Amino acid sequence: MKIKHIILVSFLTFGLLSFTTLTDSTKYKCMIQMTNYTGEAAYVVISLINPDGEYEKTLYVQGDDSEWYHDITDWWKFYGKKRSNIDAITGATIAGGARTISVIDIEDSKINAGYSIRFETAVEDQEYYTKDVEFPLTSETVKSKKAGSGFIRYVRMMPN
Amino acid sequence: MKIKSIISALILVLSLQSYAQDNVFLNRDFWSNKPSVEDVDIQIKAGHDITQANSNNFDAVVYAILQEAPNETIQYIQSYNGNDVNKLTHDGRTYIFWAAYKGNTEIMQYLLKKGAKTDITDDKGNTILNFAAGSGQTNTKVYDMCLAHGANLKSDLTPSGANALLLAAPFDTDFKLINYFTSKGLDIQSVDANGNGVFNYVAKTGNVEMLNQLLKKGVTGNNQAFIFAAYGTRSHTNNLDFYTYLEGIGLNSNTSSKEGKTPLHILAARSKDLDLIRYFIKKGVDVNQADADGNTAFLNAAYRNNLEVITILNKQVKDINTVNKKGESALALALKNNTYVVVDFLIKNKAEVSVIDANGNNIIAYAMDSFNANNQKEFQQKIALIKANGIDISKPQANGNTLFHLAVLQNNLDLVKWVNTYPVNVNAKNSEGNTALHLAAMRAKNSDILKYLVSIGAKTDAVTEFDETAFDLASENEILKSSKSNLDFLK
Repeated sequence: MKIKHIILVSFLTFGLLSFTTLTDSTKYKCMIQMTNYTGEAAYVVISLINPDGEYEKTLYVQGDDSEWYHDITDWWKFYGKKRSNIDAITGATIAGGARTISVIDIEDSKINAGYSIRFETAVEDQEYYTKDVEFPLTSETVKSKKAGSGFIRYVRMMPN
Repeated sequence: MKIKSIISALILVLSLQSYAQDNVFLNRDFWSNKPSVEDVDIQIKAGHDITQANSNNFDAVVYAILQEAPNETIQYIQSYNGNDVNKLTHDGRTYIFWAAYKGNTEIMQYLLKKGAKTDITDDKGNTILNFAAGSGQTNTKVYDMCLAHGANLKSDLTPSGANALLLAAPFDTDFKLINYFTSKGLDIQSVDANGNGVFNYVAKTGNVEMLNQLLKKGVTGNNQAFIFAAYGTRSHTNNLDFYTYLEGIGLNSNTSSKEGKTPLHILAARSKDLDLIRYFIKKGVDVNQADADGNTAFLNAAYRNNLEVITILNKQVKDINTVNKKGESALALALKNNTYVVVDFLIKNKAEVSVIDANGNNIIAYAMDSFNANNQKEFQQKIALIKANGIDISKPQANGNTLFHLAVLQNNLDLVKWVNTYPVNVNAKNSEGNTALHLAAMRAKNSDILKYLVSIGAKTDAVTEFDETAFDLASENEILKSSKSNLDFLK
């Protein structure tokens, strides 16, 4: 009886382990080019959005002072509840006119599957854009250039 | 004839410039003098811009509200194109936030009629009602109006979980505000997300009379009251007597917040009261304790306090080279934001000059941050000291940035010219593949720095890793585009 249990548990564990190792993912470079706006440097959050339009995962956060995260209003409603550790995917804010390359990791199963990538921006004293840039993740768009509608001039995405 | 026209052109240019700098509408005194609509019109005709904002994003309408200009005047200037009812100003606040802050319900009413949004929060996460409460607004009609327009006292909390009762309590002197908010359904025993209640909040203003009355009502505080007392408010700092009072009612001063901040973290960043600093040290508060960002009280002081405070704290410091999460040491922080004497003190006390931060920047990058065109002496002294301690300032940073890159990032032509007195390669690329000219083309506000870099040998045909030339980048630069700068010199 006991042994059976152990076997069952180890099957389960192995199953889970192999499952996680089997989820292939690809690293992408995202070059974010800001407009040459005047004011403080921008917070930019990159998120994976599921087919229902909801936040699934935080991919990168440009801006390392968590005191201001609540200003990225919609993302905060998702992230603020759990506040998972994002140290490994956190960089500096991006100034007007500047560009940054964030390397992000996306599971291959999310490409061509109705998922989108969202770039959300907020600047002190100024506007907040939930969808500064947002586009569906397809094998075409992951190597393309997309124009922004707020503080972002464009985003260039390419496999790393 | 020619000279005359040059002179008049010069006068015109100079006077235009002074208008931009001395826009009378950005002068608070103008609005304190209760200008009429006619007074405003005269200045508009004289060329002053009624829609301009200053560098802190305060504009004419905000100042008119804050300085209590006549309501008729406020309404008149708000109706100008460019002063939209939902225009974002300082800290992301629209006009109705400022009207609520001043208790000006007539203007609030006017703005609401014109479509002012009421479901927004400012950069600090305050609703209109919470912003007014947090300044202690005593005109409760302000709150009535907010409540009538969708505010919810129980669910509208600040990012730290405080409700309006907690926010207003520090400013209440006669229970008027506390009673108002409890009558609207808030519990006098409310606490924020970190368990701080009314008592701790009132400790900010150190109002002993109120605190004693709260105790009589059964509203008690905890050790965190010392943290609140250390923060104080914009216009109030607490003295040693008050901390002694808190101790006297049984609270312990050797405490820290959820983020690991001690009262000393807070005082080291803002207080020059040596008795206070000594008090907390004597009570056993650890100068070496790191908060969630890795900052210690000593690092905070190195960034922004004076030599006296730093000297006292330094006696308790275990390692002067401790860094925060960003890899910034006391020396790096002092180079960036403090004076030469503090930098000198730290180096004399064995602060390591070869420290590199988490982004690969050495202390020169920090010193460059402190360049001020109007006070170059401090900057020159810091640089001389760095050099005297054996740092080769013409060597690039670990991330490939040269002095030229760093100077361009400051957008300061004087600093770029200063760099050119050192043997630095103006065409060097950083690890992202950008030359200083590339960075300048992306971020320039005018073509001066670009022209200067080209004049000292910056190559215009160098390309980024995306195959862009400086001309390509400058052509995309919105500010250069809108000023129609001639960029042919980059071709």
